[in-house]
Amino acid sequence: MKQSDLQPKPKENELKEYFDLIRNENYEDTFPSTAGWLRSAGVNSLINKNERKKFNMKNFFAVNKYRLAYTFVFLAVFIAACNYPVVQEESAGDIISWSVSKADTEATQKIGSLDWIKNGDYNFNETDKNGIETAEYRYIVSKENHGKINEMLAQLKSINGIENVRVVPLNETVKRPVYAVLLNDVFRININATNKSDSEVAGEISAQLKNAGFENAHVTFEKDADGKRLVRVVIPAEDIKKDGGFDITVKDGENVNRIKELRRSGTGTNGDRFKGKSDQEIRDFVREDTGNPDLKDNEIEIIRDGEKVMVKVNTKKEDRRMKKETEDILK
Amino acid sequence: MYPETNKFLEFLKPEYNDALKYCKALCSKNSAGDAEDVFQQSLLKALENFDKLNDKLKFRSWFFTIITREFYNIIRKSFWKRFLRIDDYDIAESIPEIQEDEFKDEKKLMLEKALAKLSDKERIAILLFETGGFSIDEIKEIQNEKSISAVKSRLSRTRKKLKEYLLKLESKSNSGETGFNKNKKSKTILGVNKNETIRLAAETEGK
Repeated sequence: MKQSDLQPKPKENELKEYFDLIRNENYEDTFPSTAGWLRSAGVNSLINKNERKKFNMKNFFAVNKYRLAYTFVFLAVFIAACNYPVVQEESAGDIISWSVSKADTEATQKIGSLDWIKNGDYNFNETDKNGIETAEYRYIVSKENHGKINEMLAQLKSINGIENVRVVPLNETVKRPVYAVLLNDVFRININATNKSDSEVAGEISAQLKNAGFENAHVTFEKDADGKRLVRVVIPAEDIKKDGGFDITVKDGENVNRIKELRRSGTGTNGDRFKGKSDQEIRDFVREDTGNPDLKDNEIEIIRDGEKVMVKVNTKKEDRRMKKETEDILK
Repeated sequence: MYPETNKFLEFLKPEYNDALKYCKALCSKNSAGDAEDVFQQSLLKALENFDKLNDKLKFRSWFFTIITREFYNIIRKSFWKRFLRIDDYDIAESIPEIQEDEFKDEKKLMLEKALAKLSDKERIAILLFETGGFSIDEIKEIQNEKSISAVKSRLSRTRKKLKEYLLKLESKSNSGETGFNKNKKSKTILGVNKNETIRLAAETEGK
């Protein structure tokens, strides 16, 4: 038998007896004093109700140091969140492309006389289509001139002999910390070159570099031993601002090209830093300068052309190819 | 003074005694100061929002709901008081002290102890039912429950628990373990520290 069964159980009315003790309490004689307090407190409460918000804010930090600590933690989290990288799609401009028969000199002359062609950035390839020599033009419209596209197209269409007029918008995917998105001071480009021709990818990269202030960038393509396409971007040293630099990632099918400019200045006082130096000294300099002491000799290629010295750094990591290029001109 | 203070006091007067008893019993787990805080804040909140009460006939259940919510607020605040001294800028003038009986009945002390062992929800439900005289449906509204059966089962469970607690306390009292004495009224003596408490107790006993 359980112990509880042995003990006497309080009956239902016994529980009632207990609660009767509370029911029989009488505080009614305190009502007048409470009413008096409520009248005076009510006045204060009415005044304080209006000032409560202000009061609370005023005393928010003064009351205790923990709140200050909480606020600091909140700010720290906020700053950390600002450094979280975000991916943005941005318009980098447009490419207008068209073709014209090379034999059509009248059309070629009219094209050459257009103001925006005279002052703009364009290139053309000559191709042979079914025995007809054709010139394919590509003109890069910066995003500032986006509004002028319709006018340009109208001018092109008014010229007889022009065919295949197309406008391709250039979008770049840029990954930046949140704060950099606001300040826009970090320059990174991600381009998907899969199934795009060399000239299309070159056009996209050139447009984005131009947008970033690299006016004379030259984009070419090479094939490696496996036949994979490698992007080569050459930017004259004098074009690179002291605080510039760029990081371009080009996805080409399974292959990923990454081009990162490490040298920021190649002229002026730094111009003679390779002068009189041996290949080994230059390699040591590059290892120190790139912060990569593990670079092998064969990864640092030194090309001497009279006074001009080109240093090329090639590293391969798994499926990612990183090509760092340094150019220096001795004067 | 709020324009409707006098009207508010008219409605409060018949409910005052029950409300204060409910408040004190509700805070049986806490200090007497907490009970006064709950009652004080409930009065002010009720006065501030009295004009928003459209159906004045529902004043009783409305006021008890405010007390219940303020009880939760004060209890939560009590927890944070350990870390944040938020009462440093409490500018509200305190309610006049409501004197407790210095000598409490042994049974009443037992009930307070047993009530303190219940969960907040259980204590609220049983007190509203037993001392407030509210119906199960009204308790459902005050406790913001979805079903009547939840309140019913809570009340049943709480009664069972209370009986068990009281039984234990009674048997301890009979064996003299609790210090409850049936023949003498007990008195709570507290000094500023342990030594002073012992000294005051000795003086009271005439030693």
